[in-house]
Amino acid sequence: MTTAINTLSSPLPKTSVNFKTALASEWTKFVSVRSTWWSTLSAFALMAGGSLILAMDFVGDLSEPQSVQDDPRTQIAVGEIAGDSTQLVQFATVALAMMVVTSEYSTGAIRNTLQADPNRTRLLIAKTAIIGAVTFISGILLGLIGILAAQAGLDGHGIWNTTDVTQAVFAIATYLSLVSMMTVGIAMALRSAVATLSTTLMLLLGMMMLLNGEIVHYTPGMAGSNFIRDNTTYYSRPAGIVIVAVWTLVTLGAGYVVLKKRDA
Amino acid sequence: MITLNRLTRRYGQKKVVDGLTFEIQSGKVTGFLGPNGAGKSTTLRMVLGLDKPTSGTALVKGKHFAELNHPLREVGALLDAKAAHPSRSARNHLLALARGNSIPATRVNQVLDIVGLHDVQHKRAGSFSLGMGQRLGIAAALLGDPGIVIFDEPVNGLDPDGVRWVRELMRSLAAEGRTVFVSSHLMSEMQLTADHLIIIGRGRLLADAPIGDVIARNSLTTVVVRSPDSAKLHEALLRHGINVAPVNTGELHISGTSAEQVGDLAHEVGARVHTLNTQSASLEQAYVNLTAHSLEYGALQ
Repeated sequence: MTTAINTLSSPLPKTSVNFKTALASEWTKFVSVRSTWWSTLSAFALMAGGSLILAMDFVGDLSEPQSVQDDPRTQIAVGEIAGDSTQLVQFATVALAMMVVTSEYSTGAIRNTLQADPNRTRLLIAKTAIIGAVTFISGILLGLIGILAAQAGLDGHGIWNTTDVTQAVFAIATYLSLVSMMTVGIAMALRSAVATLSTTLMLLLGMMMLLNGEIVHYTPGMAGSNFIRDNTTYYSRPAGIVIVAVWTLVTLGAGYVVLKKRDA
Repeated sequence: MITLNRLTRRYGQKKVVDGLTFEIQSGKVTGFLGPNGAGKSTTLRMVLGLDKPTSGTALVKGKHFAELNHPLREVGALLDAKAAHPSRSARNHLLALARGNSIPATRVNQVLDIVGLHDVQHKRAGSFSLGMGQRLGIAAALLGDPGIVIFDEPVNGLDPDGVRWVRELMRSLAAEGRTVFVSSHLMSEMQLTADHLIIIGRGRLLADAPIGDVIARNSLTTVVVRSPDSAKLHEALLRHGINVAPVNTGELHISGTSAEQVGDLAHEVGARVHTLNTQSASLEQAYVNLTAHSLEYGALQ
């Protein structure tokens, strides 16, 4: 038996590999693994469940004298409830973003990826762009689900102000999008899933719990929370998201340096 | 064509690849041999731009790999059969690579047919056997119909049919004028497929020659004589400065000469000869001789 190697009939495209082809390739990889769908689904479940529980908890506390003393409010903005759930939901986002990078290293597929397009800068941008855009869009849906669940759970104790609600939804989407990109940076720098997960947890949650005083508001997790909840005690609302963005840029920078310098 | 010029890679103090200079020609199957840890995979990764050389260059068609405009259309490589996301289907694995190089989806169907994975294309790569993984890796390498193909141990995990298939595939790729560069630890496999051999040991080049020359040059053909008058013959051979190794009574192994010369000499000294033949060494022996030398050399340092 002789092996016939059918030749590729299509002519070489005039343009060489570029940002568009990198995006197409990354997108195909992104949607063709189950983990993408599982982590997206779990983000939605966490948001719906989290907001509902937090809302019901708020209502329940109204009949506890001690709780009323701590927080005398009888009504709460739905956006605040959804914002608090986001602190939980973000870990589904982190898992999703992490796998986009770490699965390539754990399987060795990164070497296939870099053979198809050896431009590492482009690879980092393509991966970051896709996860950032997807997370922003799903973040809007998550925000909507969060406020709807909060509204339902608050049972008439929710403050529903269209402007505030819209801002909260976009704030949640923006924050989650930045967290996903931050995770890509960390994963590119560390390559292992365990290291990436623990470092990201440390940045988003650990520092918040370990640090004291005003500095805690400059950690990405707290700055994001202030941004979503419109807490302007320490800085303006835009400043909150700028802090998160700076953290994101720093981790992406670290990821870029490692990707460029280290052997694949 | 692949060109290496004084390619060197150091990890700390250790030179894993040490000043490799050679050229891989098109239209041939070039075997890349060396013991484990000789630096074969590191060399291949540097050719593909995955690892950075400490010094020297590895060029593909005169360019660094990263400068190729359509990498998969110029170089196809199989480095690791398991280098696919386990939960991604074989088809999607290939499709993602194809889209990254503007290769139409119809070509994905073609390569799936070529490697015989058409029926399992929607199965997850993680469910594949090692042999199927090799086929998927080969499909990825052929995706861009490249002029250069690089295979790292392509027959690993394949059944005899698969081995024969890969052998024929490599031959036909070379016959089509492509550059075929295959690493293997299976000397017997190289003997059947390679036209040219590059042998390295401890990161250094040991041989770069057509396969016939490698065998001829590195393993002297041995003349085997059985004679009841072996002592007489032995003495005569020594007088002529010929290297003789007596094996057991009546049997001599003689190197550095021909059967004709030994026969004539036996006639001259009147030694009866019962057996006279030549043993030409296999590639296996040539390889062992070469790499043993490199290890000795390394140990002396």
